[in-house]
Amino acid sequence: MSEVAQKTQVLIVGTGAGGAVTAIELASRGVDVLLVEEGKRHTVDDYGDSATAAMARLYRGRGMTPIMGSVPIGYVEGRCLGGSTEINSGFWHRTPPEILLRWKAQYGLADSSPEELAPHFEWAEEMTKVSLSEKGWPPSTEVFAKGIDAMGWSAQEVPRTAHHCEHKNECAHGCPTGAKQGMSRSLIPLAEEAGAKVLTRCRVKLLLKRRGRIAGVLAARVRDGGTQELIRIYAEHVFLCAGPTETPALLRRSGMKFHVGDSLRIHPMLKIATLFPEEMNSQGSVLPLLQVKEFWPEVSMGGAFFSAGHLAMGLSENWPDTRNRMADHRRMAIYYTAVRGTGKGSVRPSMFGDSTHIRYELSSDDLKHLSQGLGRLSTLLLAAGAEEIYPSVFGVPVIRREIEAVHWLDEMLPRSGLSLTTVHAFSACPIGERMDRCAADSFGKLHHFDNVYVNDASMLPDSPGVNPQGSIMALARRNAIRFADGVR
Amino acid sequence: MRRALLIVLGLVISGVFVAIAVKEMDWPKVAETIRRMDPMPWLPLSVLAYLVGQFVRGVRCRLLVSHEANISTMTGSNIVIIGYAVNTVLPARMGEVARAGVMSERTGLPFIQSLTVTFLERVLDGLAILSVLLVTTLMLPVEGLIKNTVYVASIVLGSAAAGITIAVASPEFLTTLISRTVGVIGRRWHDAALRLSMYVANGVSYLRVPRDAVRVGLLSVLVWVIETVMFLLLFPAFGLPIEFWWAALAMAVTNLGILVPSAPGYVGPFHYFCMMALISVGVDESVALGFAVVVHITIHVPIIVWGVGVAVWYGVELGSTVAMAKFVWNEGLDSHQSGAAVIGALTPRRRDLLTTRFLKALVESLVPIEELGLSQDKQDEVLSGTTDFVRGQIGGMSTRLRILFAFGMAGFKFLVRLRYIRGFCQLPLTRRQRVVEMWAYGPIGPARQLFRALRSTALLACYEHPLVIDTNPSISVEERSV
Repeated sequence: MSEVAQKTQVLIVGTGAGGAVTAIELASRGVDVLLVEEGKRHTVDDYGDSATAAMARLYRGRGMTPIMGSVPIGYVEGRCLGGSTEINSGFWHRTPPEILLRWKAQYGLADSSPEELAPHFEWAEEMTKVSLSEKGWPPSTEVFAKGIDAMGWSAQEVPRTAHHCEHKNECAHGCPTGAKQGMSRSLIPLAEEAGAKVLTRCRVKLLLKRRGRIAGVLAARVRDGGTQELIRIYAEHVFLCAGPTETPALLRRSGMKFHVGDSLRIHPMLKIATLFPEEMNSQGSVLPLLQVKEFWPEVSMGGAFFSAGHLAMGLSENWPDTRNRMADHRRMAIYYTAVRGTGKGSVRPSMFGDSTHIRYELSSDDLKHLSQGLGRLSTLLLAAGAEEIYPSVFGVPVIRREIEAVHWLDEMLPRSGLSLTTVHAFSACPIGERMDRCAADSFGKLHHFDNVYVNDASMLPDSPGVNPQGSIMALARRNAIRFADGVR
Repeated sequence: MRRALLIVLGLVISGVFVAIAVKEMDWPKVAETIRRMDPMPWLPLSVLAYLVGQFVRGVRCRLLVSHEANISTMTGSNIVIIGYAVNTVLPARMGEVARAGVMSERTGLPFIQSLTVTFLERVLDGLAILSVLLVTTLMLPVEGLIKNTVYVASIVLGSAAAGITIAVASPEFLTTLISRTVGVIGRRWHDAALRLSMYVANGVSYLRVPRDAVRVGLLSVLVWVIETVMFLLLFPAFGLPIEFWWAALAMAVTNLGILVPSAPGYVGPFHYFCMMALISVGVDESVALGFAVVVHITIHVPIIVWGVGVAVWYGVELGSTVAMAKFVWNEGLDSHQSGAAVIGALTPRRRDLLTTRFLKALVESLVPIEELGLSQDKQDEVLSGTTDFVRGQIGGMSTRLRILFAFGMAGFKFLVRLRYIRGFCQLPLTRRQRVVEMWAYGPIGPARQLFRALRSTALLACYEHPLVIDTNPSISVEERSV
């Protein structure tokens, strides 16, 4: 696109799960739509690069967007056309009914029962070809299943947005086969066919206010050669879909702070490298596909992305003692225990820069659940035949016996030694009818403004306890349709 | 009208200073002082020192525009001298506008951006002179006018430096501040103010790399040390002792004094402040004034000769300078692109916190490069690739984190130097590995946190490097699929 559109009916900031759904729903209903994306547009041919190259290309801050707090947490999100859907594992969950009920009770979220959201889930599942693995389970999943059986816990194979997945183990680098239905492959082309325009490499810096409304945005667009130009785009309505950290940061930077950025939630995750007697070949197969639901919603367990580099990172907390394990990487796999975070998080724009400060204070419950999660996951893995378990916690010794594993059911992990990560962040602009705790109404319209909408992960009232892509897409579609009906 | 007012005001200020300077002056004695002056070899040497100073100013000018324009040092000096020459013949510091105009014409930079660079040069000059004066006040007892000059200059230059620091450190903050404050007035003013802020941000962008900022700062100090030498070289001609700090005092007070817009050539303020500085160290009044007159001529004759030559060469007429001044006051900010969606161009500069050498030495100490079965040249390639990745990761951090990280690393380097009497990079690899292990995997939490991102990203990049994968096929994607 060579010309900058100066005026549009609806401007959508961000092209991830929320932005792409909004775009296709509005464009297909005849609304004039402009999508603005900070990152670049990539094709399938560009994907499948090395981890380091992919991080530079596809990740915000090249993958360096830590969440600060007494326990710093590594957080990554996508910054490219399609957003985080280009780099996630594609795991798909509908929002659990219990969670929807809690959102209604605590936030007054209207029109969001499982029945009301079902058509939106069905639509999203069809568009992203959600399905179970067709290729059979890789060894890392098989041993996990063996452990689950041994423990007698409830678990499920999680469907993914990756129909005909070839198990290339490249999910985190952009799927090179095109099997994973990231937004750049699934919805955005359809939205463009329906008339939506897309402007990439364009970062919205500020919302421009005029007479109590948002008149448009001020954005910096990267030109060929790396220099930038500042542009102004006018819009009748603005949908903010820039993600759980950038949407609240943009709002606050623009002076819109009502319940914005004060309630960030995440799923803190502790990774555990595991040595098995037999060859796992984790680096050559898809990540483990099962998730343990026995202790949900507080604690979940599953498998994580594996590569030699990621294994080294996982072992790095105690590297002088664990580095020799790199030689056994073919017999290793990485699993995780994640908790439905109950700590307090916030998002703030940097006053003297373009960056965003993310904070999350791990609660005592989080720590307890992580410790118990480690104990239970270790027990499961030992039951599955694991020889050695290496938690990503500084100073915590390798676990070889059940007695060492169950130790963590009653003991707390040391905060200062934890090395946590997360790829799930949300709820920084919660929606619902309760004005005392929500930034926007049940359909994403920001309180005190009648032409600004939040329609991405930041709108989820609270932690969904599962991979959030399904929840985001269903709610975003519901909101977009309601908006389009109103416009018409 | 505005220009006429400025000219009148400049002439009035000059008149006041001349009146104060020559009040109750023993004119025959002044004339006698100048007549008895011994010009050889001091006067030519002084002029030579002044010309060397202009050359250094040219180097600084070239550096300040170097990220967007490629000019020679001579062109840089010519740009500077044009400004000085115009200030000699036009009042109210019109020379700064002329200098920006010539810079714009020679470099192709927007005029406002050139004006920003010129303003930046002047502020750097002011800060350098103030630094010289502050050091001088430690060496000489000063009071009265000079003390007041230090106070006023500190406030004025400090404010300007604070503004420049914000523009250097955070152009985004400028954009946000201006958009949110000026936006309420209307689109036209909003865009104009933003465009101006971008030019300002671009104009100071050279200073965003700390090393470059230090370089320019040192050059500025050098310029004014040379100017001090120029003053000093004239002392023997008047039979004054060769006292460096006297010369520094006279140079600094004179140049801070003429920051006030005045008549062409600073006639009046120049003589008044130069004279007062020398009197404060015990020089006779008539000798001080005679000295001021001669220094003024020593500076301005070469300026006019060189400046006129350059003006003729570049085809710059004084009329166009006046026109540029009018452009600035009346219409310059939004005369073009008004109403267009594109407001202006931003030129961000990347700021690397750590030198490549230091970062590579760190990375080499963190990754087990010797255990990966690579030949020496491949090891170097992997280390370079890993270092580049780690540098990118550090660059991806938020401003606050990068500052914290920079402070942490500065502490690390300092403590290493304290402990081993050598820099980290000078230590043998095995010792570096021990030091890094102590910090990255030791019992001190903050030290581990400082190294956490470094070690994690270094290990990731190392094991994901194509050469490592090629040498260890079992971890390659292709091998995995087979």
